[in-house]
Amino acid sequence: MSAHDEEPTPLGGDARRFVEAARPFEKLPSQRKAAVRGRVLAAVAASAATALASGNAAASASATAVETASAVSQIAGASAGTASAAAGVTAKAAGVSLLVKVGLSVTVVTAALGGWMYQRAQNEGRPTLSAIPSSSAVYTDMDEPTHPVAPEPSIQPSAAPEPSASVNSGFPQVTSSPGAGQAPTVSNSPSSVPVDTLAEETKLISAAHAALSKGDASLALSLLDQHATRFPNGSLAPERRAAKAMALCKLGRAAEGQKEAESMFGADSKSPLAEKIRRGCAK
Amino acid sequence: MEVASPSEPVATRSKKADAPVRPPSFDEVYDEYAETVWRGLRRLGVPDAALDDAMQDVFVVVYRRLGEFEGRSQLRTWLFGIALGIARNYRRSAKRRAPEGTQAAEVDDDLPAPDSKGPEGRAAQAEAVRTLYSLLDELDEDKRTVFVLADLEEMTAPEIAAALSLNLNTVYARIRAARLAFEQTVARHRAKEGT
Repeated sequence: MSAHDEEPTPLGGDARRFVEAARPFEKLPSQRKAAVRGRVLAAVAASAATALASGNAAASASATAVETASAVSQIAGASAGTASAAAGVTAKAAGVSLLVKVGLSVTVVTAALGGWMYQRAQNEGRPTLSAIPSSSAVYTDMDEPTHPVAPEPSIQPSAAPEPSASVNSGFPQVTSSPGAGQAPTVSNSPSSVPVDTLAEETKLISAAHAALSKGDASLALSLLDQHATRFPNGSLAPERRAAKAMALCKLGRAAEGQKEAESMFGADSKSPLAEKIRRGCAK
Repeated sequence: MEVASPSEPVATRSKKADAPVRPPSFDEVYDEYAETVWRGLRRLGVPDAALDDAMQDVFVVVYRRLGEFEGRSQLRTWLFGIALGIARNYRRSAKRRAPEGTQAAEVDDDLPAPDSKGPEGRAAQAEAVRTLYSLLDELDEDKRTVFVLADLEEMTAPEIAAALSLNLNTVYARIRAARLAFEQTVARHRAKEGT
């Protein structure tokens, strides 16, 4: 606070009562919070896809990508309902499974919409795939509606340390030991093979991002190498390569990092990921 | 391995002047501020039907520009800077679509009601929110904006000045005018309701 002299007199008590009467009830329903998160990530992925798509096909690719994105959000919304209707661990597992599948279906749908575009995205690290881990993040808040009486207090603590959503961000907040099962929501998913694989991949990449964000590039690199060994052609291979490029840069192996980046993006890509890596290496 | 506390809120971290500021991740920002932004947009007059769209727009911008956020301002101030512009657009397009007065106070009746003891309590809570928003609808855009920031979001005048790119004295003057206008609106409401 400053300039006390000039500060206007506070709002009168009577008027203030109207403000305060409403305050406790202006709560964002957690399902809605989750649904919008999904929409944001889908929209970002879709527009990144558009940015990557070049030439004459760009316009139509844009239209399809937007449609895909809105489809994703609808599916995510539907899943939210399902997850909240069920209870406890079952709901948790079912929710994850569903949502990770939603994520997978994004990939599949995208591939179906334009093979060339998808291929290109795979090569260039398009963030579409980031929608997968974030789908599990969409789930994260969804167990909240099973406690409709007081959903708010539990949101922050449960949502804050969620690492599975951090693949897309590059700066995950969870910094504890990467092998310590920091992505339980993902690893608890039932036994469908692709889901498990994706969960494992997500865990490794998230852990690597976490290590990177706290400056432990060597750890990040070893996690990424693990990923490369176990999932050489995994769904998150582009994310792995991007993270690897950043890790190499941070380790002072800028030449290797830049090479890794350029092999992914080409020298003049405008993708945000490419930009991020260039900045990382420029330091 | 060093373990940072994941429970430490983003807001607190960004205030530590000496610590090296790393940009918060999108998920951290979303987890911590989704409700703030949603509530802010609503208070700023985005119709309920457009809220999710508006919130999506805000966070798409946040996602893209988070790398540019360097901790020079408070994260919340930065977010409001983004949200204000988007709220303005939605408010204006809602006005274009609906004749004056008809878009006022669209409030979900299915508001989550944490302290609700039953349908009656719930209705009363929804009513409290509806009343507040209809009072806010009486303010013009500039007054509503500063009033929401100052008295609902409880931002300081310098924060408001930063979010609105205005000088501090202008902000003080607007807060004064906005409070007066709101108080008059409340008085009219009281007179109308006979309470």
